[in-house]
Amino acid sequence: MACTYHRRPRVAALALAVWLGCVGVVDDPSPAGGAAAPAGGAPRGAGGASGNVPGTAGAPGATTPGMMPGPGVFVAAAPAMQRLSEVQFKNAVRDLLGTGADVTTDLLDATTLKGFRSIGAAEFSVARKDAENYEAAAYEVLLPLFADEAQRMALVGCAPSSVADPCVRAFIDRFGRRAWRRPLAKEEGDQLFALAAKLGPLVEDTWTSVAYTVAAMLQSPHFVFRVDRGEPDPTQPGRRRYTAFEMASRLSFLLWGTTPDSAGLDAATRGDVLTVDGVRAEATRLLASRRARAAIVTFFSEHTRLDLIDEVQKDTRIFPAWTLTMPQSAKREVSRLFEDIVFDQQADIREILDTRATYANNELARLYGLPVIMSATHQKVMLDEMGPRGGMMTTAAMMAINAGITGTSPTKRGKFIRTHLLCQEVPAPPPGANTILAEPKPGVRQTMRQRVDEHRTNVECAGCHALMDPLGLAFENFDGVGVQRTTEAGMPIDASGELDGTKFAGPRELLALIKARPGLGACFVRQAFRFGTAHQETPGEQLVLDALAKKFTASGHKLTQLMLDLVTSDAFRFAGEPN
Amino acid sequence: MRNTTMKRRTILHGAIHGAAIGVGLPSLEAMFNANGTAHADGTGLPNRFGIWFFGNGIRRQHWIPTETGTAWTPGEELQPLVDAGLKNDFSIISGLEIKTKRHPHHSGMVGITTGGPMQVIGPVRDTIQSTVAYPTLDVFVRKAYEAKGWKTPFGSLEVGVCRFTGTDEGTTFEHLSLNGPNNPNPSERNPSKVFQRLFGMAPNDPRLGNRLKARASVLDAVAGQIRALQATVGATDRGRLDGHMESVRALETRLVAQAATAGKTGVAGPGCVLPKDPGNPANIMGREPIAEKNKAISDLTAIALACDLTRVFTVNFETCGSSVNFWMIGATEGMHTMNHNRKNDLVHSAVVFTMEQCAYFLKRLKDTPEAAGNLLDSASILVTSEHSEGDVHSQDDFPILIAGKGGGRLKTGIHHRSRTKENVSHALLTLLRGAGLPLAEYGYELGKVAVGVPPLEA
Repeated sequence: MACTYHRRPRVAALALAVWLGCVGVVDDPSPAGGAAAPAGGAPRGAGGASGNVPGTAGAPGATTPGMMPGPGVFVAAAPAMQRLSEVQFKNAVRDLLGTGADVTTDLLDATTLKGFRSIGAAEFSVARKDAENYEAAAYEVLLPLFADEAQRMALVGCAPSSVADPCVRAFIDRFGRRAWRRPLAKEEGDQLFALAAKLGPLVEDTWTSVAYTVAAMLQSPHFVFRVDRGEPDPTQPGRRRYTAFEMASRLSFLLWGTTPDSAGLDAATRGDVLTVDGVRAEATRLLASRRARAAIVTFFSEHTRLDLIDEVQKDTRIFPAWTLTMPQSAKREVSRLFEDIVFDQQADIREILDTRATYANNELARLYGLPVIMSATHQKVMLDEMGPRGGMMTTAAMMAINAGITGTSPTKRGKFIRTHLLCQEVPAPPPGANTILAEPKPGVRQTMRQRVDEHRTNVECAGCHALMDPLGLAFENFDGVGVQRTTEAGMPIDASGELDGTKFAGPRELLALIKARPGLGACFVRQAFRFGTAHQETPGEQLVLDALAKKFTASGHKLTQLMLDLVTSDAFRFAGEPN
Repeated sequence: MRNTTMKRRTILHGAIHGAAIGVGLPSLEAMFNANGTAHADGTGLPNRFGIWFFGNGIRRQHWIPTETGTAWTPGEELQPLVDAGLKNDFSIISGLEIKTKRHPHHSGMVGITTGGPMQVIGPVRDTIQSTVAYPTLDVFVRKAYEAKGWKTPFGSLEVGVCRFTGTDEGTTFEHLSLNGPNNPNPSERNPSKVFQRLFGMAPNDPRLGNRLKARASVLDAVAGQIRALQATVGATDRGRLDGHMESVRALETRLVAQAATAGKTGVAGPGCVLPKDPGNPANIMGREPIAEKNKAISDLTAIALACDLTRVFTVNFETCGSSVNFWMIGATEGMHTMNHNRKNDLVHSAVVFTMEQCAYFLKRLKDTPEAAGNLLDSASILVTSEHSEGDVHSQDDFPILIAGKGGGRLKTGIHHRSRTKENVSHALLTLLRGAGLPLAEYGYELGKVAVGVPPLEA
């Protein structure tokens, strides 16, 4: 029953089109333009590379005039406000109000779009539930803080005698600059000061008025969004750049996952971050801090869809190693390994594909058959030099995410390599296709390689599955949660195959081939670009991507260097016309 | 099963009808007489609208009765509703189909919840990401009610039951209610949080009234900031700030209304019995206590309607394309996977279980008295999914129930079958008319119709 098509004769035609579409696999093309916008407003950067689903490709064109530059001409993308993520919001509140100002209200992140939450955050509004959450979060931290003599004095810096006290006005300007990441306009400060006065008769005392006034600053669009508008660049007429304060926020939220600190705001006040050198200096300062680690790990987690592990379902009768705590243990392994290579080793990011080291705790050591570890804390361990395991792909997390509930999935594993590591597009199965493998008939013993053989022999399936299945089958020595095995259904496992014409004997040889692919760095650059700029690259930015890829290769694939090159690039510093 | 470590709130007030209620429930005083049984001003009952959604479709041979008209025999999947005594509280519509451009799951979800086409955001993995092109029905109704002056403290209520186990295919797979493209109203699935939001204020705090006013003033200031900012950004961001403004104003309006009645003693309708915090039933060994959560969410929704905290609701029981595990019927895989694997007997059992949950919800409304009848009398509720049958992703012969008597506008107890594969929007038009909106037409682009389902309209 696997990979069969149903119902309409036209499906066969679609299948053929899809099959033909897979004959020569292409790199995921950059979008040629936005889709036609229906009434009500199109998501930003909509459309684009949708040609993989027959019948759903967006209408080409309909872009703003001037947005289709010739090759080699840089055109900046339109600015977009980005809503703070849950982590960014909570980090920022803590940085503004001090340790202990921990928001426990659950905030909702924007839906992931085009692979990254940051892109969703540049498209989403504030729903009613979000507004309620922001309100609850503000009072949750502010009321206890302002009820505490020492804390409120530390924050406000003076004891206001009334809501009309100039001390309140001065505090509004000082706190406002931090909370809104730029100096307040006079009328903005005046309006908040007027609010404090209006609140006076409604609440018990002056301190509470101030607390509620701060609540207005934390629910403000200037806090819950990062307002990027850009300004005309006085040095280059006709061009728009991000303002110094916008740059300070762009850098801090990307590299630290939080609001700019005093040094960052001061650098903006001086205008330092309006130059390439100034941006590089500031980004270098941020990247040197341990605070950069969590923010950069977020990029990698989203790129590899690591958070999907929270939703992974496994039949624990088949996979008893999949304990309730295993998802967190497995996720931590990958993120710690990434952090090790990028920050501790400052190594080539490609090392993550075949490193012999990993980070395991007690239950991962058991799952991997490593020497006993007593602690639930991860520690660096070396893997069997002769074994098949090594690198991110063979971790429990990646093996479990890219698998089914009851077994493995060579298709998912191969697809992950094509789409996420190589940035190649694999066309979708057409509507009506049953895309899940049938279970073996009762009493029939089959290996996964035998079960997916129909993908190879059925001409409608073969074109696309030939791109995925052979790569995924290289990992058949790892079951649906990453436990190593040498046989399946009583038969020895064959993990050999071919990557675009080059044979490999097993996962280590396959990963070595992938690691040596010339396009690997460019793919990683593209993902980092999307995450870091919160939009899918436009045609006018392609030359920036190309330059970044060259530099990335030249740097020996150092991710921190890529981040520096990204934030100093024109695409990060210049804004297009608002749309 | 219940997580007993949850902090429990005490019962706020007496639980008999006519009991003093001081949590700022507006309109009730005006609506009911001292017995809470009839309308003080003699006008009709409030109109109410809802969607009860479940993912992955049904099995048609167990869902669609062979007979049409009033003399139909339920298949196993509708039997739970009949067993709950609801046979004459809903109608079945079959044979309609999605007429907008199709894609598995996406076009069905968007078509049945908006009456319009999906908006493709872009490709992702082996499928697409999409969102709505137009507001969902509940948002359409909320705005129409507000335009008529039918305002309630919450305007609408978005709740859900099963945890989200979908994939990143855009808002279509995650959300039921959307104001527009990529502008969702997320469903709250934690019963305790639903309780806190609806009933969680400390009613006896003498500062309550002024504090509510102060919070409203803060929001008014925020609205001023949004307006000023809107003048300085591009059209796209201006539109997003419209959404922000609307959200802030909705909350402000509610606080003002609640401040006006805080501390006052009102007389509630008989169904407005203040609940206690149900907690958030915890998973047991990874198994989600779906029935228990459904009960808690259903109870809170019914009480919110009875207290007139909202007249519009959505219950996202199980999301579009959900891979929720219905362990209680013996499933070892997610629902979506089970459909693909053609485990149709298990899928069927899961649909039966799902309709048992739907029956609990509808029965809870029916058991909530109001005036001479019950909450279902005034309601128009769409019960549906994004497919007819999940294994083949079919979007013809769509599963549609309309529950409630729509204030006398809807005929119930009927199975109407289209023999000519008509547009699903016909059902939506009748549904909206049942919700008290005398529309001449409804839908967008290929989903637009000017005729409802006449046999169901009184």
